[in-house]
Amino acid sequence: MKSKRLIYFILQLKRKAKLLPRVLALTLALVIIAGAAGFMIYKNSMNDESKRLITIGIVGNDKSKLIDTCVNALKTLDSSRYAVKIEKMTEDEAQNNLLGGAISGYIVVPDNYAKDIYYGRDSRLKYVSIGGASGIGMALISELIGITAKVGLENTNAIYGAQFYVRDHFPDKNASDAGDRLFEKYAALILTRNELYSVKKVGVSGHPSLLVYLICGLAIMFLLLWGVSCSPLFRRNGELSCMLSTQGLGATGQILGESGAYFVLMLLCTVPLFAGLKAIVSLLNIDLGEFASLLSGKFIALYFLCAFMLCMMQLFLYELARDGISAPVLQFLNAIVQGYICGCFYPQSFFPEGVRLFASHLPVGVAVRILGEASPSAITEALIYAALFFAASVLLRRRTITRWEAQL
Amino acid sequence: MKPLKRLCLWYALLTKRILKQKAFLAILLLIPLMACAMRLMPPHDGGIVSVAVAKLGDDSFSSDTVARLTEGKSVIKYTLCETEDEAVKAVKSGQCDAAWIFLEDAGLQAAKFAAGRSTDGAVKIIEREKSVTLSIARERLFIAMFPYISYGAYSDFLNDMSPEGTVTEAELNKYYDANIKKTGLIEYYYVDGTRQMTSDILTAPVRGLLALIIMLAALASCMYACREEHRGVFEHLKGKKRAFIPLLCHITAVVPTAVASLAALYLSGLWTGLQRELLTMTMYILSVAAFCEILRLLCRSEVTLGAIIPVLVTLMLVLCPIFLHIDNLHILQYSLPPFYYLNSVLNGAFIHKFAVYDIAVCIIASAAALGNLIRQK
Repeated sequence: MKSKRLIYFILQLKRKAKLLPRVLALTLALVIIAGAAGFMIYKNSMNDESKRLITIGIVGNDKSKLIDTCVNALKTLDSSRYAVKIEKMTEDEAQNNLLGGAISGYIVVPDNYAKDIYYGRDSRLKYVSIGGASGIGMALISELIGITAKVGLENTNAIYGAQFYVRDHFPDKNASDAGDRLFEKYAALILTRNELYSVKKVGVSGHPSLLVYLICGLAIMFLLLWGVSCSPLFRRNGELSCMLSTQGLGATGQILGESGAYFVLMLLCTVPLFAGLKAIVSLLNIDLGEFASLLSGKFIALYFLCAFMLCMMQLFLYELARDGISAPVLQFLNAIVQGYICGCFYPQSFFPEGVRLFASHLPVGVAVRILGEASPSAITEALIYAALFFAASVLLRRRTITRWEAQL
Repeated sequence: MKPLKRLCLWYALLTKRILKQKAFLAILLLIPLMACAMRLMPPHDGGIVSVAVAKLGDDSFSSDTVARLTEGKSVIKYTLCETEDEAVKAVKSGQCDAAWIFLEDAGLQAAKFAAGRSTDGAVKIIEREKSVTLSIARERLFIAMFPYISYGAYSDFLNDMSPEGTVTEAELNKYYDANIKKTGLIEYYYVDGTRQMTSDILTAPVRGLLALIIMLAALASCMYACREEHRGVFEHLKGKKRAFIPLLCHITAVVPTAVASLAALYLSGLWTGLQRELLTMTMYILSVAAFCEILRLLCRSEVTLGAIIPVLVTLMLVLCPIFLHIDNLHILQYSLPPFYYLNSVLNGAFIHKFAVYDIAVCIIASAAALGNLIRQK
């Protein structure tokens, strides 16, 4: 019995060895090329003043200080210095730029907006964008614009108040001059607002930085998408399983052989990648800083543990859906849904408490916890999941064999 | 009429071949169910950034600022802490990204700042790391403090102007904010003049993710078609139709997935209207099928196609407006079907570009398919 299992394992290893290294090598090469290209484009765009990530236009004929205040406020916001660029333009220019993709959106300030809001009339700013469904990006832009509008509103409120006060109480003084002087005062206050708080960076022991966390999320997504890529390796029909069973190799032996071969080959293909990266880092004496943990022995061991659990999950899904179209679609659906709610794209704090708790115990959530915190409870959960997926795969295979035996 | 009838027959046969797979039907049912589950998520109490807030004093400045911070919707999630230690601990343990500690004399320091005098700071900020989101959060803190500072600066300014040096509180208030509105300052519109829906940030990426699932159905069909071609399944077909059968296969795989996705959009509350949804989805089906056929003809093997899936999916996740809004990689963005679809659904002006893309990609796919047929012969 044992020798049959071993023979099947070796056969599977040979079968997968024909395809898997090619799949992995191609995937890795493409990822490295895409990553390098993306990094270079990103770096260029960050260095180039004219190519910020987001450009916003400001449109309007309001003669008050409001537009200048808004532009000034947005320009001096810390967060906008390297993310947002703003430009004053006409509405036609803004529309053309928006349709041409040169700007992300534009704010329209209605005529007499400042006066209208001061007198309590219903007048609102309009933010016009091209659409799409950019959740987190749109949320950040909305937050920035909301902040700018509120700064502009408070300033306008005070400037108008001061001008009307001067007009009513000091008829000999120029109200407009008073408004200008107060505007300058506000501009100075916005510019020096950092004096209001002291900032200290503490870091967190045992917890990854946001960037490291997102890299871990991407690494997990990559493992999940590998499952889609490897669909040609898992295609088989029930007839073969039935035949193997009649030859004395039952469902357990078949699943052991297939999962073992898949995992071993994945290790063999990934170890050189980690080893190569480590060698380059040590040869060139590169200081990786916060990313050093991503190449530590502990991280690599934990990554393989995650890969083991996710391999078992993928095998189970391939037992659920076998045909050429359903199998990759199911793998992808699982990858994208679990990846999303378990925090591979957004930080987990983004989700409501209940969802966060539920997602942290799903297989991908467990993998995120393993790579992020290396928590012992997550490691135990991963092993339990791997065992459960293995058992469920065996049961499904057994059912397939029984069905085919009945048909034959 | 006869060719059309034959086409319909082929379409029906190929669809039957796919729909007889129980697993595929189960997946189609799963798509709207998952979208529905997203909508039923508990009320959103999460945020892009989480901040622990603590007040060391009991002045009105700190209390009002904290009240302003926690009112209304924001991308920041606040956790109120009793003490400074508790807030710092929340950051160090990774529970929160930052702590904002209002010092005992925060009100006094803010007043000094508003008067343009040097200050020791009103708030102590402890952060885990440097990030754009934490910078935006700091601006949110500033804006919560700003009404107090703005009023202080205004009051000082008028007092300095007044020969007696004192303007009464009542007069200051009378001129400052008798009528001004503090909420509903901005309305969001699309470039075609339609008003933007106020969708939850959590469900916002659902449309993009569904678009990717449709794309994946087409890619899976490509892998399947590659295998069928190698096995010679379509060899017996005569003439040009052999060249177009794989394209029809992709459409038969994509249409049921698109129908399931439309149901998912309806159930998740992202539905924009029957006409717009049907038009853009039809255009998307065509573009996806043609785009994937071009990829299939370029890759030529199931394994190569499988290998490009992770890269292609990652590219689409980054470059299409699903999670991010990137403006400066147009060449790549304008070559991906989901980019057109996601932009067209909410922006009528983009549909023309989508139509041009559709026509171009269909012509290229047809030419490539015919070229492949000639090469095979």
